[in-house]
Amino acid sequence: MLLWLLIGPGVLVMLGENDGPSMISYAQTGASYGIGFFLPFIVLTFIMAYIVQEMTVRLGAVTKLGHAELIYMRFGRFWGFFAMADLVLGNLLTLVTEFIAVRAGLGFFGVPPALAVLGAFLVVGGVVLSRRYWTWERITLGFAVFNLIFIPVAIMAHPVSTQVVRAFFTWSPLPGGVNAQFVLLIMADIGATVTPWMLFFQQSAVVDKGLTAADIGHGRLDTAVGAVVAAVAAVATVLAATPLFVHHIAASNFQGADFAQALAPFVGNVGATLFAVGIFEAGLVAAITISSSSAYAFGEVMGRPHSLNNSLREGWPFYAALLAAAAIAAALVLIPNAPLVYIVLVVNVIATLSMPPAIVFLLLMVNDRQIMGKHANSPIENFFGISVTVLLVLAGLFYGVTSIFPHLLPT
Amino acid sequence: MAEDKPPPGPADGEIWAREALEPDQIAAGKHRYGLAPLSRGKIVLLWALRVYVLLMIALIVYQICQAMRGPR
Repeated sequence: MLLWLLIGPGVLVMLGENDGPSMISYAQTGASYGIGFFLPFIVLTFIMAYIVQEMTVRLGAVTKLGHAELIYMRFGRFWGFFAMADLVLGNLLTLVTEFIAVRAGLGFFGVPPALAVLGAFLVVGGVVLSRRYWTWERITLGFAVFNLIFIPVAIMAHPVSTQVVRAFFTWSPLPGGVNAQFVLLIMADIGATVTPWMLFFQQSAVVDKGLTAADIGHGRLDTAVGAVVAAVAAVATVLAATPLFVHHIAASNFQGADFAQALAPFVGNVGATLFAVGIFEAGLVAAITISSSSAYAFGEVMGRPHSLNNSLREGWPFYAALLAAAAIAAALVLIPNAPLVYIVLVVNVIATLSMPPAIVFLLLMVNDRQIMGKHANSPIENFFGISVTVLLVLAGLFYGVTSIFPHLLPT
Repeated sequence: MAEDKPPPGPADGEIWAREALEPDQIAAGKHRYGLAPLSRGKIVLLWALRVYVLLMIALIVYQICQAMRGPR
């Protein structure tokens, strides 16, 4: 019972990050590489996500301060501005892709884009205006459960279980080897799991929920449960799209609805419908959590009330920032002929590239014994935290070098 | 949260959770921290990462321009 009450920010942040672009990236991965290297790799990215997010639980529970306000407080306006600039740019682009997912998912059912986007915006507004963190969290968790809808689709795709087991133990096969598409999907899959908005969101949500240092254990469990559930959903999405790889169907320019339609001959109409619902749900939940992340950071930096427990009168700048972020993103999605799939993949790449500075701020704060006391990072926690940072920087540099010198990679 | 007193029943769970959690949500109870001292090494690290991000964003803009010019 206690876990049920304390569960929330960790599950929400992990399932929130299984968002529209993430699920489309996983589907692209399954369609391009089938069962092999990427299955264990995706699990690894969720382990990385847990390592990073656990630190935000401790920071929020001990300091009772949101991520943005703590950066401003400890590093000053100059560095705080950069951290916020990364967040604002990343969040806006990511929010755009969430509405792309909503549009694509509902497009499968023939819902016109404008109606789909407007409907999603109204849902985001309606959930937010519940004006109680607890209510908001439970409603959003209710939506987030639908992330598991990809599991039955994966079962309907009839993956060969021995291939799945072998992939986890051997990290192979990797059809085509290391090429430009492989590098892009590596970056996209990392960006589908470890992103700056997650740091800001979970720390602020931990504070808004009211967790304290005594609740850190439950916060860790909440985050671990979220990571496991989200990893299962992500792997299921790869498996669900594997028939496209097996039948050599080119999916490089697919959107959410295209995936659902292309999968119909292999997973049936029910499977295709579930896939489309899953893409829609992924976009909707992330639109709620990411717009909340922007609003928390805005309120923290501007020194305005920033809680979902605030009344509309008291917290109007917070609510206005939240709804404005969602409205801008929703409007951008409706621009005709926008290259939506490319935007989706690039957004995840941007998330990966902007993550190292965000983690360094996090590591500096969580090692700050003046604010963390006995809850500061241990040497082993620093080892894992620094390893994740180094891995992200190396992945970014590899991406950068191979982008400038593409002839280094086989085509 | 203040204490781990068990809830009387599922119907009261939400009320109990609010009572237990919300006292810690009060912003007035937050501690205000001053600026952290930044060593030269940390400042160099932060600048290096800032340059890294700017270079990578420039790279992505370049790639988008390339992609818009013709098929990849």
